Amino acid sequence: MRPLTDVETERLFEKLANYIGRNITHLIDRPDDPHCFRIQRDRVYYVRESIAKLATSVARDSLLSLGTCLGKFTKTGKFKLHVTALDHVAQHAKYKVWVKPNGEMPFLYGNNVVKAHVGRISEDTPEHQGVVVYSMNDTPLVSFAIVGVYAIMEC
Amino acid sequence: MAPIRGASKPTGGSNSKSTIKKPYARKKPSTAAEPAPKQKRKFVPKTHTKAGVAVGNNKIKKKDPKKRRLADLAKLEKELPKLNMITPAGVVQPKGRKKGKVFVEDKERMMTILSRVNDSKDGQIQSKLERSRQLEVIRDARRKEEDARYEQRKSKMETAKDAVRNKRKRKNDDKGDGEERETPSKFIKKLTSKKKVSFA
Repeated sequence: MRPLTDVETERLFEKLANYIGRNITHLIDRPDDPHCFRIQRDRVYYVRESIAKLATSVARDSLLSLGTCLGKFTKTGKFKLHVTALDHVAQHAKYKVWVKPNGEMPFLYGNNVVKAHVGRISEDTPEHQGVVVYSMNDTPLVSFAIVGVYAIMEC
Repeated sequence: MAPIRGASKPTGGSNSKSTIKKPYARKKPSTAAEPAPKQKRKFVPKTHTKAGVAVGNNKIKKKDPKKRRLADLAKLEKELPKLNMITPAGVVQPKGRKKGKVFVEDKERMMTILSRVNDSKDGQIQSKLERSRQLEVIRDARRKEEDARYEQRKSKMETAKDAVRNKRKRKNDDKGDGEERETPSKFIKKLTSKKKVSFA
């Protein structure tokens, strides 16, 4: 377990900024409950600082995970967001799409959100923008999505 | 002359010399007494060899072999031309910097990285929004143009229809001057009625 390097931090922030924009500061700057980013093997964790300090006493090989896993670095150096990060990302999401109940299951089975299933969408959402998809009762669904051109144009 | 008493005559032979005691010879100190400390001779360096050749200054201090080696190396380095050195770009690391990965642990550095990322992302989003706004404007203009064209076509059609109506009216008016005016029902009847041919 170690802190992130310059490049790694930049890659992580670039990915997070797709979904939460400037709200990343809310993740970094938490004076009441300080958190930090730690990397263990190739996975990035968002950890409470006190836990991170305790985890230093565990050997690297024996440490499986700590805190919340945000995602992983691929071998080519790209960062992939994991679904475990949804809790933190959904809290601070910048652009949102609400899907009607009849469109939830098709979306969760991997289909696109069709125009008929879109209940609401944040204003001024640009095309090809990362959004978080919610059900109509504000439950974040288990995926991140990219809003297509038509969805933006027609809504 | 009477011989000296106690003085032994030389008996002759090979060891006669050693036994002869000369009256002027120094007496050896008794064995029981400690040997007197020898006076140290002052070392005087030889200036010439036995053969008479002048000797050089032998009093050169011998240096520590390591230092000597270093000095030799420094001398060699001075003598070597500068262009002969190979310094691969990847290997040379500036002194005084941390080896290995540099971690981002303080909040300020994290914030600077964040601001850099945010600026680039904001720029991208702004350009996207700007482009979509421009496209919207173009789309609006095209729609308006289409509407105008449709209106124009419609009005043209209306005028044409009016012209046809007026023309027909005028014709009817001209006919109605001399003859009896046909009622519309009669006109329809006239159109629908077929000519009948009867054979006598």
